[in-house]
Amino acid sequence: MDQSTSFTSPRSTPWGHLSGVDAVVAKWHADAQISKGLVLDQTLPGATADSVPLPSNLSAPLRAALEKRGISTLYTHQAQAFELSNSGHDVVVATPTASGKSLCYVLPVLEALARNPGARALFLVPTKALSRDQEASLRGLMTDAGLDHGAITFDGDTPGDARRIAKQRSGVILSNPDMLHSGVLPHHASWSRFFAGLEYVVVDEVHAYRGVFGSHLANVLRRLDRVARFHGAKPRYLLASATIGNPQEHASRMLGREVALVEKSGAPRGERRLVVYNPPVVNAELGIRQSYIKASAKLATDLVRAGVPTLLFGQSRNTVEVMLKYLRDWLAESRLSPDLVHAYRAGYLPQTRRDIEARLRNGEVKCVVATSALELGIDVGSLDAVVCAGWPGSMAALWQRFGRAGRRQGTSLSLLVTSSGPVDQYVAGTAHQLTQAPVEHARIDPDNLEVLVQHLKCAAFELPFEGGEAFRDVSAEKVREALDWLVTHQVLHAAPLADGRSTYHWSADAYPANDVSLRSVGWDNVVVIDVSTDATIAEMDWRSSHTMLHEQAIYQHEGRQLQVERFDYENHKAYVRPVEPDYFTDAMTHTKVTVLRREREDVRPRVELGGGEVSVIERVVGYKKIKFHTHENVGYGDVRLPEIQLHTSAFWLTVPEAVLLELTSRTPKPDVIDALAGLNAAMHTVAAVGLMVDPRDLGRTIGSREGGGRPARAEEPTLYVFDRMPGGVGLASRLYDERDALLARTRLLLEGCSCTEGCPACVGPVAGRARKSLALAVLTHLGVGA
Amino acid sequence: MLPLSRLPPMRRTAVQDSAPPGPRTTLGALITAQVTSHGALHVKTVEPFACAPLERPALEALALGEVEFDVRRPLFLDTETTGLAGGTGTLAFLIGLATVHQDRAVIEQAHLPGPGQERPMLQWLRERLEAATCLITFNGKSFDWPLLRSRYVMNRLAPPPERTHLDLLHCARRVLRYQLEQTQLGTLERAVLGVHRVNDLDGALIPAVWFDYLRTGRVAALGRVLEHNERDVRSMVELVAWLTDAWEGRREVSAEARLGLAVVAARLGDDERALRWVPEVPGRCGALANELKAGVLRRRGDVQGAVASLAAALEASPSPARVHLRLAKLYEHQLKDPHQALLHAPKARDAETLEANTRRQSRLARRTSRGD
Repeated sequence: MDQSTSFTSPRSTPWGHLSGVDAVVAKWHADAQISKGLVLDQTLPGATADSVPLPSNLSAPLRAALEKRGISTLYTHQAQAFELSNSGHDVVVATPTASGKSLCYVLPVLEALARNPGARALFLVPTKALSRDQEASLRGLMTDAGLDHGAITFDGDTPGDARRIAKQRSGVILSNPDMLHSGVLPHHASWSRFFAGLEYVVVDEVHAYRGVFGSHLANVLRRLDRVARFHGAKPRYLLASATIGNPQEHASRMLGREVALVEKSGAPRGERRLVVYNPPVVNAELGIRQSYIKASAKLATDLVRAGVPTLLFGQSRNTVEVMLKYLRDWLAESRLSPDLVHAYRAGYLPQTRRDIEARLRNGEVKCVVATSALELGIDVGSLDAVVCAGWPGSMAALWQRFGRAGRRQGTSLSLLVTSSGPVDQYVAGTAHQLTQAPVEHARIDPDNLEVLVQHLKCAAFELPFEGGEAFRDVSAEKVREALDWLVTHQVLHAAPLADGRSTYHWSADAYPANDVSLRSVGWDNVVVIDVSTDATIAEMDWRSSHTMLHEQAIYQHEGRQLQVERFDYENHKAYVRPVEPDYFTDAMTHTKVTVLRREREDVRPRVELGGGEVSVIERVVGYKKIKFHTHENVGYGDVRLPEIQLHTSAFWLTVPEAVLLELTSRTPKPDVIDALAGLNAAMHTVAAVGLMVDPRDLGRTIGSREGGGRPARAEEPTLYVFDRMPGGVGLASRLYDERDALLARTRLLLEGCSCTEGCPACVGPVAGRARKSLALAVLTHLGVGA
Repeated sequence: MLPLSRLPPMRRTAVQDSAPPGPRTTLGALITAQVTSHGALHVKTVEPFACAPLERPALEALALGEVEFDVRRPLFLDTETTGLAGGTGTLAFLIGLATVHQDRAVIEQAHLPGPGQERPMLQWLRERLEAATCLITFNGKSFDWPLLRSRYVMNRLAPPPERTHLDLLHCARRVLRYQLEQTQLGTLERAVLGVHRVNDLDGALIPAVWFDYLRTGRVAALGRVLEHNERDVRSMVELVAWLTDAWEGRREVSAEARLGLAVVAARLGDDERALRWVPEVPGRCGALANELKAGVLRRRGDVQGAVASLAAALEASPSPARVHLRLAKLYEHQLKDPHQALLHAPKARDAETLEANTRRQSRLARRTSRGD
């Protein structure tokens, strides 16, 4: 160590001609310990700017406002978005992070306001922090352009006076889907001026609305279009997406119509070095690796010491805190100021965030440790390195985080540090394919029956349905069928009209939006009540409540632990009390599948693959108490709850009887079944990675060919992977379509895993059995060759 | 075909109808329909009853002088709705109005025959509003009026005319908050109007009665809703009279109500009336009255009187720290007596921040030691 280094500033590049990033990576390669874990080091080329003059049809005040900010040209994608929306198209912009996406939707909106004093626009922004930021920057630009329409954030925190202004005067409303769903649409009559003038709806970060949430949002937008039409408006949509595999398809599903795509970025980009570090194994039997959190903080410390502005992403608030502490400790050891590193959270006040951003720009802060707050488009200026501690869940999310580095010229570093979890190890094992890996598709199913019916209820509350009315892209026939069903459940009243059709009126003493959470498929949500304060602290969808809110469960809420004292199943209420246990609980679920309809079948000589509709019955039978930190099992408890039935779609793999007999002639049947269960786990991992879904969105189980029955007795054991969303969002059929890749990659996962006979990363941890080698042998036997 | 049968069971939102549907009648069996240009209108007129004319000064005072009332043609309004949550899916299916002509009040009730048939009723309400000079409701500012305004939008009708609006809930709460813990209309009826409803329909069941009517056509229970609504409107008329009499001193009221009236008078700057109303009673009510009196006296320059009132308030005050703080301030700034002030300052700790209290005490200690 250079003893003359001052305390507050990191020493300047001590490796002479090498710039910061390259020097640090060179040092890692030179380090015998670290270099072993560098499973990828690849350089991606940069690009120069592609600009065009400001559009000629841009209003003069808006042009002046841009020029005042030094913007005299637009990147090609910004100009393209402006022209497309100006000519009446709905547009989705899917250029990389930090390419200046926001101007793509801000310009058309401001142009509309400049032309029409009565024009209104709605911005749907997924987080509060981001919404306040957008509000501030919009207001700035509007002031410069002399537009006095006003922009205001309307969410749960908006005070009463501001709410009135929002309804009556504000040109731009920034809100979130939940608020639109439960606070604006059901009260649209008091927003009549807003809806009457509504010209644009901006949906930022549209890739984030996928799965259940996305399916809900598509329905909220169906309702929005319907309400706007009532007030005489037909808004156009401007959507912004991070890089995903199917932005145009996703946007079209979301809006139920064709959407124009802008995806070629004209923004400049510097050269980027892509590095993946897989920490070394410390326990080969169990496949346990050195802590990725420690490793990430260590490598980030090297970068900070070399003066490289670095962004370090953790997966949770907790890991962020831990990494922050490690970094500060290690910097102090090198006599560097701990203030060089800061945490950055979504909960910070705008002023605090502005302050950190400013200090990052002027070099007082060299490293920011964050969860995902930053990936949602906040401007932190130029950063030279991004470190991702752990796989962020999808390629799209990874690229989005990596996009935070390398805004300016010169080389930047994008570093992924993998954990010992199954998905991370899968990624580490196939790191050389990282740049070719297809970016995942965002999937939604707006026609999912449970979701659709819930929103038809909300829509009928907002405006009676006329006989023969369609619900945007849902046919009038389907709508009528669902409405008639709701009539039989006494939620709607059908008033006959002279022409024989009916008008459907809401007819219940309830406010349906309150019973529909956009974040879950929820029939009737369960309310969580803290008995120490009598306050309602949360709501949970009915299905999740079985595993999370059974009696004696430890329910985690905002960092606090609460124990469930009573679960009033009939009335959908769970009563909890704060506790400070040294363990958490993990529900044990018994899952049984019954095949209802075989839709696809691929019968091969040694294996049968298929897909179709299944009924899944799950019952929580008990729970384990698991000690914090050590994860020891410290006890069990029983749970008595009714079973939950789920109609969904599944992908399955059946081992034919003849093949099973061959296998069991050499190996005891229980071991074969154990290996199959291991294969099921590995397939589940590969499926989650391939589909860009949270592993919890997929369920798995092993049973007989028809589903039920004890696997140990099954003559034709069958592995099931099913979609956890009722009705399915198409995950299972994708798995069937990609079945060859799924099996091949499952084999690769087992072969590539460095553990001996099974670890959490592949077939699951094992004691005593040769599970992994047996699973590989089974695969070979099924015709899935090496 | 949508696979609707696969949906999980739904929690019933409406009351289950176990009885077999009775004879299907129409609303006309209960209230005769009038034919209007907008459709059938079902209005019931109730036998007029005696009512004192409204008095402008009293009403303006009870509304804290915030608006001017033209009391020549008041319109009392109360609705019965299909739910309490509000939003565009909630209908007002019954609107009860009372108009006052000289010394008689007339109640009219318009009942909706079914959803989608609101226009005649809304048109009828518009005519009544246009003829009225002011609107009087109970909790109408936050509930009935916004809901009705939405109905005009939903029916693509021009918004109803806005009239000066007196919300009796707020007036009654100001006067009776020291006497009653709750100030719902039912509580006020029992406590001050001497009204005891017999066989009254529970307000929470009203939406269910409407939905039952929609499904079965049975109108019998709607009769009870009409009675309930009529009683609500009648009570509003009586409540205005009661509050007016109390304000003008024509009625004996409780010490707690006198305190409420005194607070209203003090907020209006009517010191004479405030001092006249302040009750002299022992206990919490008397202590609060003395605190109020001290404020009024202080405003009139009678510092000694204010100090005496505060001293009297100390005994039973629900928050003695607040009284000590006021005494400390009066002694220090008005009477220039830091010694007396310093006796009260430590006891004022809970009425201000620790920092402010520490500063106060050290300043007073300094002054006493300097001997000023």
